[in-house]
Amino acid sequence: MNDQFYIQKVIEGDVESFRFLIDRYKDKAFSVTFSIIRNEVYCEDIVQESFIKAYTNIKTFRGDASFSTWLMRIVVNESFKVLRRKKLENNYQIEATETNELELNTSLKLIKEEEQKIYIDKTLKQMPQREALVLELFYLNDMRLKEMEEIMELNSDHIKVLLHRSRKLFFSILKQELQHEVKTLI
Amino acid sequence: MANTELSKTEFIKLLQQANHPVSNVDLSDKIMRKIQIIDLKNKVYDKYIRSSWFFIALATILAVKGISVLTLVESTFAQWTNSLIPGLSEIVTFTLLSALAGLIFYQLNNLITQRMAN
Repeated sequence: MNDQFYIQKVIEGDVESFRFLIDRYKDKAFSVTFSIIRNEVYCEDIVQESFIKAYTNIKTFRGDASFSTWLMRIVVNESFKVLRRKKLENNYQIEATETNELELNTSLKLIKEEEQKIYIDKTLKQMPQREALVLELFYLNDMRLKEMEEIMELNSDHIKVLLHRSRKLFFSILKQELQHEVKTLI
Repeated sequence: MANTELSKTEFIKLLQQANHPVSNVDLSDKIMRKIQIIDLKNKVYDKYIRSSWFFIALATILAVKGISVLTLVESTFAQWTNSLIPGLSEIVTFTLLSALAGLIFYQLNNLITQRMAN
């Protein structure tokens, strides 16, 4: 069954049909929120709030974009709202420099798997939220630029620039984080 | 210039190593419970509160109208009713005002009961 089928049933008053949409998209919503907030407790509240908002506004869903895109836009807006309210934004500026990604990846592989996870986690935590979000949407959610345009309310050129910058930034921070390790391993 | 970039697949693999917590298994139930409460509140609002406000507004208008009309025609009305049965005008006026007050209190009671239930 496609999303439209359940949406129609919800509009007609069948509340339980909304459960199918929650089950289908809750994990995606959670991971998108987590890429921005990086705090599981807040994430759960945001995801709940986003689904409730989607439910109460479902009659305004025109179907121009897919339900998933529409929902993710709500999720992203809610996440940034909480981010500003709780003052969780990463305000410090990190300069994105050219990094040899292959070399860095090789160095990373020399570290224990558990530690690799810690470094990557630390790196993502330090990234500005918008940059972390584009990486999540494009690489981990395999979204197309068109969908990202709608979710982030930016044009595709801006997203391309942001993607390039985010990737550079990711490796710059990772390099900083690995500095001690790299020094000893390279 | 030598390529120093990771391929998209390799970069994805790298990102996938990060901690990706999944949503709680109860999340769907939690959301559905909240939605059901919202739905119930909306139904209660539609059924009681909206109509109550309508009745209260109507009763107020009627009361205001009733008082002014009574003031205007009071003397004539009192004269006429008292000519039929002495003291009838007071009884009729008292009954009308009591009914109006009763209606207002009944609707207020409805409102308060629903608020308390929520």
